[in-house]
Amino acid sequence: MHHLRVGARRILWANELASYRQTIAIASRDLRPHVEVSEAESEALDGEVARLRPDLVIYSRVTHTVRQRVANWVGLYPDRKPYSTFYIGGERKAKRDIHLSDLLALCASPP
Amino acid sequence: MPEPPDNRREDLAAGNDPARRQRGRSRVLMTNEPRAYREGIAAVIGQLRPTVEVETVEPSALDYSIKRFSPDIVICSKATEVLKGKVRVWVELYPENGVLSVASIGDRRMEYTEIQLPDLLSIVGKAEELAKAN
Repeated sequence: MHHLRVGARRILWANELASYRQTIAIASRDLRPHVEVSEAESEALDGEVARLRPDLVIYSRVTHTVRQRVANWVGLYPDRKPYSTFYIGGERKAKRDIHLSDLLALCASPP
Repeated sequence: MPEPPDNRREDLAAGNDPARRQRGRSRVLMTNEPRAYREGIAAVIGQLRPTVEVETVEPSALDYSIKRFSPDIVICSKATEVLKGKVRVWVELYPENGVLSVASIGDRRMEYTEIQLPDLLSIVGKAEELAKAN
């Protein structure tokens, strides 16, 4: 059973492919221990959004549910494109050269 | 896990610095794309396999870095002839952005559909064993 920590910032990694998702999730767990990190396959994304109510979702394939129900999201190389799209704190932007540190910074700080 | 460097400067000369060379440790060279995943995998390998030395460079520096860094294993997006000729263990991770990955371990060639992190760690372990055996 998954227990939600009260007050912890919740991050849901749903990016493809599997080894990428697994490694980034481990890195964010270890380097940002105060956040609550979960993983989901793309197919399970909508269900996990409803269950976990994450503060931030990182995905490869966007869904209507994410855009309707999640306050902050990152389309990380969506559909294997060379750029990523960010919607953080109501502001939307695209970025081409993403670093791990960029993603960890998003995990750490509320918008 | 140590905080990853903000690799906006991937210093190609760093491996020539004797202070950064750590004798007796197996070497992992990472050149796969995209960058955030390269850095993420490097950070996790460094954490879960503390006996190895991990270096990340841009894909265009692969051949040069093989000569400079003498890696025991390379993880890349596109294997080059230099790589195939000089490194015994390598992984071509999601070439052409597909789900298939290819690993070469000594004389063996293996294909993975949706390779998992434990697979990568296992291959790193095999590279360590091969390096120690030599």
